[in-house]
Amino acid sequence: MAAGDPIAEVDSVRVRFLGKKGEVSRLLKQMGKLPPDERPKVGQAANTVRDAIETAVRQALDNARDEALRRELAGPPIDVTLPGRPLDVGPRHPVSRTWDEVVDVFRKMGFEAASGPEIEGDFYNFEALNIPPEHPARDMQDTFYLNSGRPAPAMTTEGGEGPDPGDVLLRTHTSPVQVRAMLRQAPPVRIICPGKVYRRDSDPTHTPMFHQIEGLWVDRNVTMADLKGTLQLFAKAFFGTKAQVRFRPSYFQFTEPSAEVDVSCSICGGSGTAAGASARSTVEPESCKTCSGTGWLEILGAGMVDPAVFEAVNYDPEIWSGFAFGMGIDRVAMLKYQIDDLRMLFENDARFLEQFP
Amino acid sequence: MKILHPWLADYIDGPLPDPESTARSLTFAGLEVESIDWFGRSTGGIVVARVETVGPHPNAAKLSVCEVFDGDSHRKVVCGAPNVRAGMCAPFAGPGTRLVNGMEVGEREFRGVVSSGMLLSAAEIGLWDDASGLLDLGGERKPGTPLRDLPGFSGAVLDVSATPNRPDALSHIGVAREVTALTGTRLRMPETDLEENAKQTTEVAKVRIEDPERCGRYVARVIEGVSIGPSPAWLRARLAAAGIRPIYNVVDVTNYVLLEMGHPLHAFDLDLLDSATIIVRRANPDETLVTLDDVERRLDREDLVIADASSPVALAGVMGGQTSEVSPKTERILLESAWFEPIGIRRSARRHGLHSESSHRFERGADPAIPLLAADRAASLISRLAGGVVLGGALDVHPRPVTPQNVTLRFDRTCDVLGLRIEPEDQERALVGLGFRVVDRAPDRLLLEVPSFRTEMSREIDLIEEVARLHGYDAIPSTLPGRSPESSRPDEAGREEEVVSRVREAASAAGCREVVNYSFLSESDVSMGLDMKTLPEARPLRLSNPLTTEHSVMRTTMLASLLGNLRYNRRFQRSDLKLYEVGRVYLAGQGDLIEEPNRLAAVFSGRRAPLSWTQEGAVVDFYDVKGLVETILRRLGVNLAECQFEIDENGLPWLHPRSACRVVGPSGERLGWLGEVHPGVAAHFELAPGVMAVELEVDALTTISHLVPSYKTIPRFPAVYRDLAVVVGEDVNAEQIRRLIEAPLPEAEHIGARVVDATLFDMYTGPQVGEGKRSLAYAIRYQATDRTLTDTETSRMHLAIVARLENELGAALRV
Repeated sequence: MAAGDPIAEVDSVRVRFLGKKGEVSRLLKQMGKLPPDERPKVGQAANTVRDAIETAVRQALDNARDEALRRELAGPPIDVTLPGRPLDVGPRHPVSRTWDEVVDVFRKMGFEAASGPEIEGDFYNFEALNIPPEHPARDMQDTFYLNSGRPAPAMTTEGGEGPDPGDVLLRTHTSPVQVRAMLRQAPPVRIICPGKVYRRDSDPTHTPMFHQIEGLWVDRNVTMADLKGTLQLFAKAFFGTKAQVRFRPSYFQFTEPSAEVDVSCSICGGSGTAAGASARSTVEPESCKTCSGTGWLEILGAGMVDPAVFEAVNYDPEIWSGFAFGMGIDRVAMLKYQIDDLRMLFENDARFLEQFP
Repeated sequence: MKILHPWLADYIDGPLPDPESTARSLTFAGLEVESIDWFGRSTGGIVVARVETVGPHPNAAKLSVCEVFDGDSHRKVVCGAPNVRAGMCAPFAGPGTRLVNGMEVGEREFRGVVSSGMLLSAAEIGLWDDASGLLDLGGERKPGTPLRDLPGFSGAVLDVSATPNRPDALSHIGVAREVTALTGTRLRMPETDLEENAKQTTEVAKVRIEDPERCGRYVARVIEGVSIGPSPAWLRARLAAAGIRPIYNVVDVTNYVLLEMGHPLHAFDLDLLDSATIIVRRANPDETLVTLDDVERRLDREDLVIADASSPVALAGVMGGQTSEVSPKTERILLESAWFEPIGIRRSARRHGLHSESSHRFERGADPAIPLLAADRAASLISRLAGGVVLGGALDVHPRPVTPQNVTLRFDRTCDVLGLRIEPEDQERALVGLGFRVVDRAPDRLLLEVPSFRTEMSREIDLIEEVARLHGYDAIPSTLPGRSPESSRPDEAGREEEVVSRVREAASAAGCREVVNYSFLSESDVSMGLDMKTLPEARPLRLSNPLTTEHSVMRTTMLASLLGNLRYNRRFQRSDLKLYEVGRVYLAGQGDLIEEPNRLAAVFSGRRAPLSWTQEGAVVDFYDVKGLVETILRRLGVNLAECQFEIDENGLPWLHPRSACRVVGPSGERLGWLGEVHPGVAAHFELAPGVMAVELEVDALTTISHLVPSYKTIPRFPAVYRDLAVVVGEDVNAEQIRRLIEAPLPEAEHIGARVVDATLFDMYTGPQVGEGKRSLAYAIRYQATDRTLTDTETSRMHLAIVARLENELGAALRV
C-alpha cells in the first residue's frame, strides 16, 4: 500500500471487500443456500470478518490521510518573496486631500461649507469688498476677464434682485462667496468657502489657478481675540498640538484691522534649524528649508470684517461684527508634503501623483 | 522700499535701536521688513588716500603716475582716470586687497612703471555703476580712514514693504515717524530754511492749472546760476544704497528729497521751457512726448501733462520729458513740487506701462500739505550743493486747498473690536505719536484731526487699527467666539460632498489616480480636434486677457483635460494609466446664463491591472469604465436596474460610434456618458486608440442618490442557484434577457418565491453556436422568504423562464 495515492488504494481495498458487490456481500448473499440452522453461525462469522475488515480499512485510511498530510506539509516552502497580487488603489491628489482636511477641521468648529461661482462679477469680487475701481489693491490681484457678452451670475436677495454684477471675471479669491452668503441671509453667518481662484501670474511660486479657503464668522460681539483663538485652534488641529500662531499687522481692503498670520513651522518645530543636519557635520546648524530658518510659516491672511463690507450687504456694523480669514490650500499642501515647486501640483505627472498613496 | 538705517537717525531725536530690533518692531507694527542688507560690505580693505602729485606716464599718454598717501606710506600709483588731480581724496586699495570682482590688487607693472596699489572708481568698489573716473571723495578727508567709516558709506539697508494703504511709509521720514511712535521718541524734521534772492520767481516763470480736479496744487521754485556736476560722495552713496543711480547734483537732490520726504519732485531746465511757462492740462489726442526713458509716448485726453507754452514737457506725476531735461549745460532750474490726483496718475501709468517712483507714490496718495516744504528743502539743498540763488517766493498755485478731516474714536469701541482692554490714555498716546492731533475730548471719546499724510484714515475703524498695531497684536488674547441661538443655515454642500467622497472612493478603488487640472485649456484641446459645430455643448467661454494660448478658453469638458494628462504622461513612458478628476466645466448655457456644473470624469488607458507576474496583460475596454459607473451608482444607493445605458448615435462625437452610450437615471436624469474615446480624438492628443472614458454630472448624481440605505431583512433560508445558458441572435442585447429573467413570474409568486437576481457569468460567440448568434450563461438565484425551495419548485420556475426567453427572444436552451 505504499505507492500511488494511499487514500485511493485503501479505498479500492474497501470496495473490493465491503462494496455492494464486494466479497463480504457476496458471502452474505450465498447465505440463503445454507441450511437454516447454520445461517446464524455463518452470519455471525461473516459479520465478524466484515467488522475486522472495516476496522482495518478505517485504520489504513487514517494512516493514509496522515501520510498524505505529512507529505503535503513536508514539501519545500513556496517563494514567499514573490510580489503579491497588486491591489491598485488610486491615490488622492495632495491638494484635494488637504482641502478635505482643512474643511473638516473648520466643520468641527461650527462652520458650514459654502460655494459659489468661479466666473464672477466685479461687484462681488471687488466692489462689495471695498475695492473700488482703480484702487491700488487691485494690483495685488491681477485679474482674468471674460468677454462673452454674457453677464456674470446675478443673484436674488430677500429684497429682490441683487446688485448688478458688473464686469465678468474669474474670481481672484473666494471672498465673493462670503458676499453672496451675506446678501442672501441675515446674520449670524458661519461659513467656510473652499474653491478655485485665478490670478494672472505664472512662475515657480505662482500658478494662474490655485485653491483658497476662506472663513467668515459674523455674530454679535465677535472680537479679534475670537479670530486669534479660532485660528490657534485650527493650527493645533491641523499642524499638531504644539503649533503656535503669530499675528502681524497687514492690510486687506475688506478687513480692518488686518493681520498676516504665521504658524510655527511644522517641520522644524519653530526652531528654524534643519533636523538631522549633523550628517554634514557643519559647525553651524543648517537652517530649515521649509521656513527658511525663521521658525514661522506665513499661511493665513485674516482680519475683522471691514464696516464698509457690512454696509455693502446691509448689515449694521454697530450691531454685528465678524472676522474673516483665508489661506492657500496649495501652499498648505506644499508645506505639509514639502513640495518645492507649485507648478508640479497641476502637471499631473503620474510619478508625482503616486508619491501620495 | 529700501530704508537706510543710519539715514533714519537724521530724523529721530533720541536713540535709534539697532537694525535688527528696528526691523522687528516695524514688522510687528505692520511695515514688513522683508530683508536686511548691508551697504558697504564690498569696501573692506579700501581706505581714503590723498593724491599728492600727478605726473605724466613716460610711455603712455592716457596714464598718469601719481604719488599717493594712504595714511601710512607714500606710494607710486599708475592711474588711468581722467579726473585724477593733485589734492583730491579717492578710495585706494593697497597690494593684497581683494576687490569686489574677486581680483587681488598687487604690485603691478604698467608699461614700465610699477604701481603699488590702485586708485578706484565707484564701480570698482561695487558701490554704484559709475566707472568713468575715480570716486572723488573731496579734499577734506583724513588719509588712511577706512572707506566704510565715511558718512554714508556703510550701514544696514532695510527692505520695507509698505502695504497700499501706507503711502506715508514710502520715505525715510515716514518710517522714522513710525519708529518714534513705537519707541516714544520725537521726530526731527530736516532743515528747510532758505536764503531767497530779491529777484522774485514771478518775474521769470508762470504757472497755470487748467485741470484742478487732477492737479490740486503746483509749487514751482526757480534756482538761477546752478553748476551741474556730481553730487558729494555722501549723497551719492546714500542714493546708491537706496537703489537709485546718482546722476547730477540737481537730479540727485530731487531723488534725495523723494527718498527723504516721500514727495516726488521734478527739475526742468527753465531755459528749455517755451515762454518759461508751466501749464497743467490734459493732453491733446495728437500730441506725443519722449519721456526720460527714451520712449515716444502717444498721449490722449485722459493724460494729464505738464506743458510749456507750446507742447507737453512731462507726463504729470509719472515721468519727465527729454526736451526740458536737466543737462550739464543747465543754468536755471524750475523745480516742480505738485499734488496729483491718484486715480488719474494710476490710469496714465498703466496706460503707458510706466511705473516710476513718482507714479508709485502719487497713485497711493501723496501728502497734499507737503509740496511747499519739499520744494524748499530741495531748493535749499540745490543751492548748497550746486551753487546758484533761489528766487524769492515760491509760485504756489493751490486751487484745491485741503481741509483736515476729523474722526471720532470711542475708547470702548477699540476694546470691543479687539477683545482687549487698552486704556484711553494709551490709545491717545499711540495716535498722537503717529501725527494725529486731538481736537476735542470727552471722557469716553476723542475727536482727532487726521494728519495730511494719512488722508485714507477717514473712519473710526482706521484709528482702531492704528491703535491695535502700535499696541502690538501679541497682546490680543485667544478666545473662542460665542454663538447666537439663531442657527446659521443648513450645510447645503454636505450632501454633494458626501456624493463626491463616495465617487472618489470608487474611482480610487478602480485604480484611478486623482488629478487637478487648470480650468482653462487651449482652443485646440477644448475642441479635441473635432469640428466645434458638432459639439452639443456651446462654444467655450474665452478669456479676454489670457496669459498664454495654452490657457485661453474655459474648459467645457473634463475629457479634454484628462486626455491632456495622458498625453503628458505618455512622454514619460506612462501609457498604462487611469486618472480621474472632480471639477467644474464652464458652459454658455440657456439664454445668456453661464453655468458651472461640477463633474466627475475618468480615463483608462493601457493595461487593466499593473504589470505583474500574477496577471495576464489584458488592456482596458468599455466594460472597465462601465464597471466604474455601476459601482458608483451602487455606492450612491441607486438601483442599477432602473438606470439605462442608451446609445446616442450623433450626440457623442468624441466617442467611438460603436462603443459609446449615455447614462440615464431612474427618472430620465442625464447622468453623463461613457465609452471608448474616438480614435481621431485620441490621435489629436497623440494617443493610441483604445482609451476609455466617462464623464458624470455630480449634480444629477446627488439628486438621485440615496445616501442612507434602509436595512432589509436577510432571508433565514438559503437561496437556490440554477445555471441557464441560452443562445440568442446577436441583435438581442443582454439587458433584454436580464429583464425577462428578472421580471415577475406567476409561477413563483403563488408559491411565495421569486428570482432575486441573475448574474451573467459567461458569454460565447463562435462555431459552437453558429454564425450571428451568441450564448449567454446566467447563474439565477431563486428564493422564498419562508423556506428552502424544493427541486421541483425551482425547476418549475426555471422552465417558465426558459419558455419566456424562447417565446419572446427566440432563444434556444444551450445544452
